[in-house]
Amino acid sequence: MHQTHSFTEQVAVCAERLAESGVAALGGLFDLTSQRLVRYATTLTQNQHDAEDAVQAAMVQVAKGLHRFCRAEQPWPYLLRMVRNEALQIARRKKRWTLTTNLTDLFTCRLVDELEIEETHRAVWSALRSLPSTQAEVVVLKIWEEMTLAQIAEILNVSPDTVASRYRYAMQKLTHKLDPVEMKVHRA
Amino acid sequence: MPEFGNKFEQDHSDFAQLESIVQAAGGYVQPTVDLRPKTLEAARTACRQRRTNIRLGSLAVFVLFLAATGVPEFFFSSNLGPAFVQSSDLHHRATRSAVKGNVGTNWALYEVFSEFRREQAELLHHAD
Repeated sequence: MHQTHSFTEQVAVCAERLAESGVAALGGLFDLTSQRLVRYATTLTQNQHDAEDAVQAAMVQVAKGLHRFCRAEQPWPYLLRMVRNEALQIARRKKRWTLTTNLTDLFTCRLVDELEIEETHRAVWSALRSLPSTQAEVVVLKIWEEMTLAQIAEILNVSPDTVASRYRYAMQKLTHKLDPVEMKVHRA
Repeated sequence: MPEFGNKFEQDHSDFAQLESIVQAAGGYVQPTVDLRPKTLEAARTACRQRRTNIRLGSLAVFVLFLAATGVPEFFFSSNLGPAFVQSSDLHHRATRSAVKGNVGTNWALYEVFSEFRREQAELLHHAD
């Protein structure tokens, strides 16, 4: 939770810099948030190219409405909402839901000493893609963004109960697709 | 929602192992190399476009303001101005004409009015 808090603070600092320096400071915000935004958008669009288009569109919106972004009480959830809206628009336009388990579009980071666990990572991403996007995004926000149910509910504009049930269903499905014990043995 | 959150965490502690596996895969996907320059260039272009639009908009508003206030003012001052001559001016001109031409005041006033109406007719003719 401490990590999330400090990340949120870092985004707030970036927003302050944007307010002071204008669009010249957008690079800092991009460097800080792009990886998180792309992986979140990828779960919504089911395609990394579309996800990057969504992130780019959201960043352009930030640049065009700097004052709105800088005045936001919580810039990080605000940015996530912007990316979510762009990603959903793109997903609706392109309708690539048939490629849900195909991972060929992903641009991945693979360290030499992590070669052994790459299969695990691929299995996780593949399993996430098999979930409905409404459930997958809750998993992403809860586990990768370390957000609380209330924070997720605010971003998705649904009740915390709905978030909890989506998370429970998603985790049950993931448990079937990814056997935690086997994975743990594999990772060890 | 602290109570709800705590209950949720207790109910789902059995997902902890799975959560750690998913957590580990968080850094697997990275943005492509060209996303950064592409995004920053698009943002700069959008800002330039927005500034240009704002300037053009301001210019259009200024021109409309000039058109709304300046043009009628121009017509009233240049074309229709002489139509609003004070009667005292006409009497003054008639007096001068009477002295200069050695004619009666009434006749001089008649000539001044005739001259004034001719000027008005010419202005209206030019306006058409």
